[in-house]
Amino acid sequence: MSTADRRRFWPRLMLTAMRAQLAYPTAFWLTVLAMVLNDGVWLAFWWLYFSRFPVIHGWRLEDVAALWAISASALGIVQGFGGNLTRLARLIMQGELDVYLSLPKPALPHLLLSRVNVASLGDVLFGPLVFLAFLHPSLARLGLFLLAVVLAGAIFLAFLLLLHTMAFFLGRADLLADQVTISMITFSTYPSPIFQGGLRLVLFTLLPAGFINTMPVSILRSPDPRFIAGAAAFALLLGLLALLAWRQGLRRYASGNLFQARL
Amino acid sequence: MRAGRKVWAVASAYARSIWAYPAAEALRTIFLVVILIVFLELWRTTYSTMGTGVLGGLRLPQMLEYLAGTEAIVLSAPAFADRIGDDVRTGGLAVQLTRPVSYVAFQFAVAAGESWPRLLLNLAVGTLVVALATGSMPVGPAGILAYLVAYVPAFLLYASLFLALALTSFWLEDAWAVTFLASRSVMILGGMLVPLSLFPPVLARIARILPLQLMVYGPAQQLAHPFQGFASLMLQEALWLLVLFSLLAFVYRKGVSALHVHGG
Repeated sequence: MSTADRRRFWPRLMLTAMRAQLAYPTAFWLTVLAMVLNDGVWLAFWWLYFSRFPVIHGWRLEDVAALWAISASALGIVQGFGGNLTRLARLIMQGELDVYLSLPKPALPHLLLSRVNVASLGDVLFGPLVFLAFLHPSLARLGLFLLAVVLAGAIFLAFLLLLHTMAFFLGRADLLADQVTISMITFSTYPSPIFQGGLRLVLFTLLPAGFINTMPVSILRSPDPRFIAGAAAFALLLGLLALLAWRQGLRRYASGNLFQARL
Repeated sequence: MRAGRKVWAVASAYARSIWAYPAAEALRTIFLVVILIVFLELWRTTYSTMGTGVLGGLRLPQMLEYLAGTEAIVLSAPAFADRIGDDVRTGGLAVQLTRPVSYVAFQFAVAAGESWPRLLLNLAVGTLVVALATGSMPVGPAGILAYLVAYVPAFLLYASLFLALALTSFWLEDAWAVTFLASRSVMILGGMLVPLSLFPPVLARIARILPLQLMVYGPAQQLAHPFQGFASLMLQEALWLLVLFSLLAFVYRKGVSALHVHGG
């Protein structure tokens, strides 16, 4: 395999995963549309809320729309194109990593990119739509929006990977991983100023949703270089921890007796 | 009578299967605790920012107990679309239709068996979280009684609507998107996230015409104001039950006649 072929492997893998989902085009588009409407319902909730209480600790409807645009885009990309990420604990538990470990490609990206999560593609569509429709797009703001999406995506990816690799050490961690994932997503989509005291500390450490729900103000509204540097450093640290946990976990991994083939 | 006993047997078997895994059920309540903590912070901030003790006729503990009540209902709701979709795709429906109990009654029994234990657990956990967070018991026995009584027809309404939607699998093969959108409508128009008393007037009028609010807002409001407007609530629930039962019977009849079973 030439170097060029090797480079083309990952985009081709993603394309194949996408094509597999597009085999049922009606179901594919219905699912995408359903997720866009689902996110729209949450924006409708916030519209209802802010129509009654216009400003909460300096946050307006536009800031929450920005929060949803950033978090939906980031989570959509991570979960959508890394479709196996939120199934990782289950795959580890059931001994289904063998098929990836036996192939001559790095197992982690191979595993993550082998499946597309269609519902999350609705999030990928929803985020930019909200940005274009409600957040006064300009070239400078687009740059800031993309920066926020990249940082939020890196934090989501590292956190979810670290969480799911706990299955190597805890065994049946799938239900716990599901609950913590949904908790992380929930805290990430509510305005940061409502969380104070000890809870705020938790949201900037153990469950790092605090970095994400601060982004509309500290990146999009009035960019704060210290916050941006802090979020980037945290994402890097969390990513390194997740990779370390993955490598340590693989040493403990006990294969199942499930016979699988990857065609 | 014999049919009633069969339905009861199915419901109790499914209820026992829920209680058989208490650790798994307890883990499921983590999300309820998380969302109530988020709501606590959101509404505590809102009450203090507005400088008022009452919003939409509710004090803060009542608001949180209301939200615990709505979340308990929605988080214990039956998942018809997955089950019926599987029956259609795998051909298992051929076996289901030959059971000595009506398919619709069987689905109702399964839903009741799974939903009621979860509702009671969710309500208990939710009330405990609110009590710990606010330092006072947010609801008395009358509120819980009114909520549970109002939930009986509310459950039947919810089950009728979502079963009718899930039965569209007979044509679509997968009714996930249809039921998903309906569940999202319940979130807003059913008053799951914000009580109808805080809606803008026009939207509140629209929501009050629809049956969705009877499934969630109606029972949950009873936690805050026990037996207030209770007779009117029960009457509306009964009338909508007639409508939704008729819809369900119509969809089922049409669906079964259009059904082609491929395997099993």
